[in-house]
Amino acid sequence: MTENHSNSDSDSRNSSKRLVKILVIVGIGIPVLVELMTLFNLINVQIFDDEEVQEQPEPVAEVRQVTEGDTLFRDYRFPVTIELLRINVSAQEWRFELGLSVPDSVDREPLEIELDSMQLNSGKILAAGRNRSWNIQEGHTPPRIQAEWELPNGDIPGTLYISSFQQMQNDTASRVQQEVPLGNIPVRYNRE
Amino acid sequence: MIVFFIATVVYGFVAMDLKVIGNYETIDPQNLSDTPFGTPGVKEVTKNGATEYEVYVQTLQFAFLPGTSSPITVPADTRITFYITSPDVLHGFDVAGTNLNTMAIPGQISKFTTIFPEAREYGIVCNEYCGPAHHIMEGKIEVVPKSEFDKSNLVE
Amino acid sequence: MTFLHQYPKAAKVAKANFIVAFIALAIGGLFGFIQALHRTDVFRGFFNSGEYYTLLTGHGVLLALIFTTFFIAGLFVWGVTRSLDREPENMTFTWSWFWLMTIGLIMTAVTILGGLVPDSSIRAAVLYTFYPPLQAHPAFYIGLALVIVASWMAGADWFWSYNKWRKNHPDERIPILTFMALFTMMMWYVCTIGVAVEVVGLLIPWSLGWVTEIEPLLPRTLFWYFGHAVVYFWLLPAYYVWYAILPKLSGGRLFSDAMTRIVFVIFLLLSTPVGYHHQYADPGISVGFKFYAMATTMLLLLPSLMTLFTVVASMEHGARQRGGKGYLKWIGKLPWDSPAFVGCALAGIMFAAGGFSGMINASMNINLLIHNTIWVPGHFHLTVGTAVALTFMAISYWLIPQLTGRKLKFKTLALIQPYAWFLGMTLMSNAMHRAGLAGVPRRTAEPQYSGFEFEPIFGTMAEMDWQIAIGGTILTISLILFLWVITASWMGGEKSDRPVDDYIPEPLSGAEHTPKILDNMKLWFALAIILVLLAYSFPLWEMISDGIFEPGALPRPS
Ligand code: HEM
Ligand SMILES: [Cu+2]
Ligand SMILES: [Cu+2]
Repeated sequence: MTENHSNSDSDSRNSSKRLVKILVIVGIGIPVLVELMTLFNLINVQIFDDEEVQEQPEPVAEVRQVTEGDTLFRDYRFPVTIELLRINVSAQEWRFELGLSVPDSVDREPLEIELDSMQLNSGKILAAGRNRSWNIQEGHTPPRIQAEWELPNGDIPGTLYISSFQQMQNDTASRVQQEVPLGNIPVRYNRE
Repeated sequence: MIVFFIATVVYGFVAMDLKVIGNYETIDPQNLSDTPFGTPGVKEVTKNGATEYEVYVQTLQFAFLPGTSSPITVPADTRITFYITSPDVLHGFDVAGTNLNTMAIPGQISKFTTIFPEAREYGIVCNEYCGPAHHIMEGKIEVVPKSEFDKSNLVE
Repeated sequence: MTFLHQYPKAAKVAKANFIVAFIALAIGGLFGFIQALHRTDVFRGFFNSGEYYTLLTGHGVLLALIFTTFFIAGLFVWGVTRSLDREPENMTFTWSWFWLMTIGLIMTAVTILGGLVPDSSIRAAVLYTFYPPLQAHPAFYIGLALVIVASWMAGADWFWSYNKWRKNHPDERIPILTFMALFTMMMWYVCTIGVAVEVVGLLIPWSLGWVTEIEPLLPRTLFWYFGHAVVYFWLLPAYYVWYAILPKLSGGRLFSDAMTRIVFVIFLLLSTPVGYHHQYADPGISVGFKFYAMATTMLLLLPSLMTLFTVVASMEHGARQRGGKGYLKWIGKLPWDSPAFVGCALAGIMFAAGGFSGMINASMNINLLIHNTIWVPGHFHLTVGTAVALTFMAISYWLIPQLTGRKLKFKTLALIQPYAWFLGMTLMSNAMHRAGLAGVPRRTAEPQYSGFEFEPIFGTMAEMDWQIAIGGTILTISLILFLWVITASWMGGEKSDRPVDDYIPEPLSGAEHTPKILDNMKLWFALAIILVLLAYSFPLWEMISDGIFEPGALPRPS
């Protein structure tokens, strides 16, 4: 009995010694290693700086992003211009505003514009919701559309999916959808 | 060691073109329109017979004006003096990776002079928290070769 | 007999302060974890980037202001009571400062957390520096003012005990544990005047709408009048532990009583006039005054170097008592299996590293390279985030048993904890320093920009981000271990009359060799005030003479 007991006692003392060893190696050894590597790299850079060839960053195939003043449905009968693109920020709100205008020549056929959905930079997708579709009737000039979204605080729209019911060349009407990569949206404080 | 550190800094003052900011010069933050900040941008001036440039920048929630919507374009190898102020809250004006780094404080004018040695682009970061969209506040400085500097974008 | 049985009233007060401190540590640490994942873009699913700033305000306020202040209050209650051998003079007074401080904390915390409630108008995303014209809910400032006033009352409580003690012991030296506490509090009085004037005189009337405009530079300057000294308010209690308790934990005794007192005197004198070194990049303060602040800052290295020397000497003495030999071999004889010792020792080592990066911050011209970059959090996670916080955690393993009369549970976990903190902090802080050199800003939810890329001197941005995230995760695990061990021991530890050996031996070179003038509190306090006036009266006059609220800016709700 007693022998057994003292055995397990020294066992536990040994195992606690081993634990300390592991802890010192991992808990102090790795940090020392990390710092030494940093020091080495720093010195390395200082000494061999001149030889380093300035690497030109690979030109990324840039998607042209759409900003204020750009035109959507450019090749169709009724192009749509982005008049307003802006995020209004104040203490409690983070509101995205989009203003579109269509040319005055909407005098014969009615034009239909629908905002289908929007993908935010965080990855979230906002569905259309209500009141996101407009029928621009005859004599409605100058037709201007304005839409607002309350976004999660801090989030920024990345892509807008918009569709329009357009008259085609061959006099048939059809629905066309455009994917609009938004860029450079001004974010401004809103005094109101 | 302490003496050594103070000595390095004194050396820094004397030997280098040091850019520490510091003079008490106030401005009414609610009335920038009547000041040179009312037409922010790059201005040409002549000092001691040499052509230099002054850049007036407003930092506002959440943009550098100019800098964000359009880059601040200046020539290389030329003395450039920046004047920076804010109409709203505190901001930072940090040319990333350099020691051009100042606070923009409403009511105060930050001023520093520098010479960009080579033509290249720099990012400007707002490095003082200025509100919920602080992290999107960025801008650009485009340093172009002296010979290619286009003066048509200067402001009066 | 342990502290609990000898001074049951004081033990209760100290415990109450520690409970609040640990709750603040738990919540603040959780926010730190989320920040480390969010800003590195490793995981952003917890909160959105606007809410990030609410979390960051919570992290800064709860850890830097609340955790520290409450822990220090508990520590000093323990030290003053024990070294003067008196319970607090009047329990009603003592409990009233505790509750006032707690009410202040709750007001402040509620306004901060309000920012996470959708559409709430109670918000305070102004960070722990609360620079106007960003404006928080008035209760945020009022709560802070209550915390400060209550901390003054706490200091008065200890001076009260000291005066009563003095009547009975007219010729004795101030006991070292009380000496250190009182000098720390004197420094606290000098430096909190600045923030009290700022909050009560400027920010509260302004947040209530009594005045509409505010000049941003004046409150900012008043804040930093307080803001650097507050660093020493956190640090001195860690020194307190290193001087008074660590030698004992390493098996020896304090090296020199005189050295200890000199160090605290120097801190009282020099802590406050250095505040401009946080404003090197500010317009509106002349270079001359910045230079003065820099020189003083460099001088402040001196007492820290002295501390390093004294503490290492005491530990070496301890190790040799335990049979340590050789030039460096004695280090192996230190009790590397005692959680309290390991935590304090690793905290000290990190502080030395933090001191080095601090010297770089303090140099005006180099400072501009890293001002407001993530380098700065990299630096102060070594100092306040480890030298102070890890020391406090480690010494809790030794104090809590004395205060609760219960033995520590889960000793193995307690031992892993400081090593894990050291590992995690090295990883996080190392990468923060490196990223800061590349220009990555601090206090930024998404420091990834569309128009340009940061160019690190070596390594890549992605690698640094991962290092920060992994380091932050290890830190969080370490924090959970700490909270678990403390909670379990507090609730269910084995009861014992003597759960730890709490005897503190006399110093090698005792108070009888210490010049008497060091105990002259009036002299040193007056000198400290004069040095502050020299540094601050002219710049403040410049800011005030054109009108206290001029040039005025309008408030912006945060
Ligand atoms: C679990 C451990 C911790 C983690 C993971 C952590 C993480 C972080 C991170 C990533 C930041 C930078 C945020 C930014 O600038 O965007 C930060 C800031 C900060 N941390 Fe910690 N931290 C921890 C513990 C502590 C402790 C123990 C303290 C002090 C007692 C502390 C005090 C601060 C302060 C004062 C700031 C600056 C807040 C500001 O800029 O307003 N942290 N922390
Ligand atoms: Cu900004
Ligand atoms: Cu900002």
